[in-house]
Amino acid sequence: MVTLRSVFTTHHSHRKLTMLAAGLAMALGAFAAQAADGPVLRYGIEMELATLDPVRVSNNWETMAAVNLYDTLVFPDVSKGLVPRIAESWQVSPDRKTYTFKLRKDLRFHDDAPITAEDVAFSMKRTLTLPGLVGGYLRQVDADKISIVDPSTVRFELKQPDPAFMRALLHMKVLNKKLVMANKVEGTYGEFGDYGVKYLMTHDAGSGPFMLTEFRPSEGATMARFDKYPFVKWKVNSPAAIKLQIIPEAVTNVTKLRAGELDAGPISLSPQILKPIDGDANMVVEKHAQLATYYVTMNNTKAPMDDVHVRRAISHAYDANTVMNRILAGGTPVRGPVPAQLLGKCDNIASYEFSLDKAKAELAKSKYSPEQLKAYSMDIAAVSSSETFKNIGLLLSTNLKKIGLNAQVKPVRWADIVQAQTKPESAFDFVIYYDSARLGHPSQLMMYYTKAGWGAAYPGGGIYWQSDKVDSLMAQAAQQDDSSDAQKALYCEADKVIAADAPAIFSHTALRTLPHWKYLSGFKADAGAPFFDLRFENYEFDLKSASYLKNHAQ
Amino acid sequence: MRFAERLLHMLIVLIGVSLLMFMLVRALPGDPVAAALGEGVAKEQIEKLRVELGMDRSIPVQYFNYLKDLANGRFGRSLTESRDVGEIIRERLPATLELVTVALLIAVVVGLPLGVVSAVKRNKPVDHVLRVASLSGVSFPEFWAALMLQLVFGAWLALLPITGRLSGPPPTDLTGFYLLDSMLTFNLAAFWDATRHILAPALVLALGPMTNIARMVRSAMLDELAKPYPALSRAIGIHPFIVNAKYVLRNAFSSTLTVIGFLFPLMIGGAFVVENVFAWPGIARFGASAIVSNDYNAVVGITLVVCLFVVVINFVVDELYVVLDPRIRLER
Repeated sequence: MVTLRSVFTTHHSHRKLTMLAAGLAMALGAFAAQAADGPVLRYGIEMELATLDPVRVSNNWETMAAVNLYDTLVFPDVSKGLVPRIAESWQVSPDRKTYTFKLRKDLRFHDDAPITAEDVAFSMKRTLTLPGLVGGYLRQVDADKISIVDPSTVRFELKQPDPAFMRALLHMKVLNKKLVMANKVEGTYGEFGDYGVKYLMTHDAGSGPFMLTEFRPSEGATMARFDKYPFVKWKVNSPAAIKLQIIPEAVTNVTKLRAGELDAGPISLSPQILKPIDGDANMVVEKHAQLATYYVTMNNTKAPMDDVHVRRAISHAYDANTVMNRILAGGTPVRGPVPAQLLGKCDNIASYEFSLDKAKAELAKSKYSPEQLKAYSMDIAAVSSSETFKNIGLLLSTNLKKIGLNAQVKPVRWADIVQAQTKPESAFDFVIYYDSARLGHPSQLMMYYTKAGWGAAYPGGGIYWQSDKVDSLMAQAAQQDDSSDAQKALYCEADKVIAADAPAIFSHTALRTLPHWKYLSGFKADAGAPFFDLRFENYEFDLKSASYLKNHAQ
Repeated sequence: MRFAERLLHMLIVLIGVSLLMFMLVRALPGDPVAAALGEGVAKEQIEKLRVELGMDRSIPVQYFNYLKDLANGRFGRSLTESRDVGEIIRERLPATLELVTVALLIAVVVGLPLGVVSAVKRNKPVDHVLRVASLSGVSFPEFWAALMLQLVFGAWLALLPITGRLSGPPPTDLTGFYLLDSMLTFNLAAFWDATRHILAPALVLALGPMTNIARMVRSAMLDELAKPYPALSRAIGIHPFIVNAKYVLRNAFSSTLTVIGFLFPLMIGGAFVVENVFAWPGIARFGASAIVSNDYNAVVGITLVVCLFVVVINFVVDELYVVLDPRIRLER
């Protein structure tokens, strides 16, 4: 055994001294990469962190952890759309099927390894191979045509043009291939083993502004600041670490927040639970507009929703204002499946103001008699774990009864909803839900109004509506530059066609609420893409605030 | 021989339960694979995961593979956490067991004397007060009691932590039970930290059982006190305290012992509300979400664990009867 004493005796070779020096240098290097002392941001989250693997994340909090631990080829920008990040530039072939990315040469992972084209290619291949949400966004990428042109250039070829491809890259986190493969275990992916799935559940292999230092299943995770992160100028009052605490009960979260045991979170609590914070002088509830859209699907194959006048009548019977402002924390009404932020200038979209008289007038135009309409018993499926959805359903059911339609709220488990929607005969008459618009692209949101979306394991999969005009407009949009005015104009036209036929009830885009102490600042109202507003690198503490000193003295 | 017989019975019960639960969860409607992958996931992704999990095979083949894995200590992969359910159970079970053990201890230590006092002082003011308190304890919803304790002792008075098992670093991991591990490693700081954290959730979990135990003990003791031997014992000069504690309570306790025995596995499953409110990282919370999300293997695995506790505790309680009642020993 080598001891310190034995190293310095003349009996031992220089090799052992070199080893000791190397060991010390590594330890110091590692220490240098770790964050210096500073304020710790304590953040409450409501759901389990089942995995931190960026390919496998499925809930909002896992996604939040992933956007802080990892970086992507491109980054969202409110005014410019997408800007370079790990990629310094990219080229798109005229047929929009080949994308070549040139990488920055100065970027490092958390373990100080350089980011290369091999890591990017590996990350894409892994994303396409493992079952998960992100793989679906990138399904047009040909997994056999991912090529490493040189150590800092990587090329992807698509099976067919995909207007949402660049946006989808916001979800493809770049992983450290060497680290992942060094920690793979036996699995079903040949030489790749389990592709590092087990390792990445509880470790990170990223290059983001924070790095994972502790993970306790069902308790939480701690992420330390990555001091070498080049995209942020860290300050003395920047968070030195983020402590995510899993607290499933919403009221307990607020109790801890008010007691000063949390600095912020969680997001999207109900207005009733947030009331005590609204009235506290030292605390604030941020409210930011989101792309997440509330809607109520209708099964267009089932009577009486197979009649456009009945659908329009139901849309008139939906009280969006009460839903937005009394049941939820606010929002902006939408007309059609795509929020206004994604459509640019788009006027004259059909809208259905809440009016029972207008609803009755539309019903009178339908092919069904009042007696026939009353005979239909319809189910409004609401996810059983959500009081919010059940309340929305109750409101709709009450108003439908007033116009002579018979519908009742049916609390259903999410797993049952997603299965039921896969077939027109089993799809619910109505399903209340919201689309978190993770991809933030009109093509994703409009997918359920084309045959490609029919039977998807999701509420939108049970709409079963289609229009040749919408199909044509979307195909044309796919040929345009992403987010260009020409593309937006085509999506706008498609949105108008859909809204006019009312295949679903389009309610509103949500407001994301985030309660926090006033000594914490730096929240971005709009980060240019969903979930990127949950990155912590821009947060700052007022270290002299009396509340901060009291809360952090505990 | 008798022990071997009991062991065989336990095995048969466990296999039967595993088969029943395996079939039952798969008979439920809903597509847990799609639900587990998240919103709007593509059909190809769903099929990929279904094949990876072996769920594309017939049910008998799936059950046979499940039993094979079980024999090797694996409980199948959790849909929601993508890792072996056995690993999850091993991680989280100690937290629940520790909570339930402390809660049951509180329930017995407080409930038993309350029941005795209530019986001995029957129809006196103290009996009425204890009976009203007992009824209240059963009537308070666990959820409300938990939130109140958090608010009063956690937020207002800052006497107890609001959530979790520990604030500081955990003690050296020997058993997973923080109280025990900290005692065994003489880590006083961790012991105190763990005690402060477990008090509130254990108290909430103990409320219902405590009042049940008190009422059962009272009722059983009244039955015994009505018999001639207590009065005779007092008449021949034995102190009333000795009569009640050594003779009456011992005879009255066997029915309560059965209830206490079954409380343990019931509390494991019923700890869901307490674990949720106090963010206690236990198995009950995971089990409840497994049921909601149709996480097949997790539901079967947790049911098997609870069932194991039931059969083992049943066995232990049967053996304790022998200690309590010599007549049973003689019959055997």
